[in-house]
Amino acid sequence: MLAAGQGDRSAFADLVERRHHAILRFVYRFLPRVDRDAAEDLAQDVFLSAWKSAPSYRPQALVMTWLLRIARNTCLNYQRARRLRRTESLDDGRPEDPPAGQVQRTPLEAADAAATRSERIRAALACLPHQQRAAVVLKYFHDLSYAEIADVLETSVSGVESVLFRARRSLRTLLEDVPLDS
Amino acid sequence: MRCRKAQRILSAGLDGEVSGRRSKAAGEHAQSCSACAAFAHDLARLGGALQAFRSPAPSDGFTRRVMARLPRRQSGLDILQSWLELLRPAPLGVGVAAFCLGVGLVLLTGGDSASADTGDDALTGWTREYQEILAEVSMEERMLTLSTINGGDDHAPLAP
Repeated sequence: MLAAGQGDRSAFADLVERRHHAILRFVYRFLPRVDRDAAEDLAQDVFLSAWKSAPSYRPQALVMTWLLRIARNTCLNYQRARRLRRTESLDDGRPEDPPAGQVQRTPLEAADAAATRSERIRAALACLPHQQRAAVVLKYFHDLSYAEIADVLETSVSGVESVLFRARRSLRTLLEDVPLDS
Repeated sequence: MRCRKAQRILSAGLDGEVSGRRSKAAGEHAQSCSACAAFAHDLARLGGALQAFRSPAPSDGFTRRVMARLPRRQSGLDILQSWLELLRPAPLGVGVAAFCLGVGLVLLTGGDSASADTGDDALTGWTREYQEILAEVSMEERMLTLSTINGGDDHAPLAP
């Protein structure tokens, strides 16, 4: 990582090769509404940001938590931009979502139609606030400790404990009718 | 212990992030509280259920596409390399330019070459100063020696 910070492109290529799967996994699960192509574009953006920020990387942080922090910020920026675009399109009188009169379904209801268990879980994650969603993804899919999650989310360890507790309570309610046994 | 606090500890205990004393207290609470026992049970199964959420594998050539999008970062080596890149297509031009530069330097310094060979002109500023100081010191020493010869009287006239 330090070599990449000094402009070593082959060192950076090694980093991308080793970490891109994990970053794509994070993006895809953190943004449950994006498809595979969009998730891959965002994962590429994460590495571009990492390249630009590499000279300021300090070895005190783990490379993986540093990359995940960039990934989280990239996803949040994407969400904000998307929300802004949607607001603008509504202001223009061009509704992009269902026509008037039709009840908009929540992600969970939409997933009911598909009825696959994976999609139910994905939809349940989409219902969580972003901080809770990130904590769940980092704990369950990246197996990070509370201290590492706190580093990615830029919060305290007790904050992570609290966020994960609330997320689990919500998921338990959201997935009430889904058999939880794997 | 209240249920909310016990459930929070049970949640963290599942991740191995709770001290033994806190974990024991929450466990004792769950043994006597059916709601907290059910909560702990559901949390343990939630982990297994989440594993069902698969994510796609990256497509082939991901790293290549990222590397193609990277902007160039200008380091000292990069700047030198870019200069060499510029020079590479016209080696003859570079040779002619270097020759002209060399001839120009010879013509410019040629008139002063005689004086440049003399020792005085070759001396830099600080060397000249150093020599002047040395000269003063030796003059003082010479005067001291003469005054000693004349009987140590500083005010006595110096011998010729």
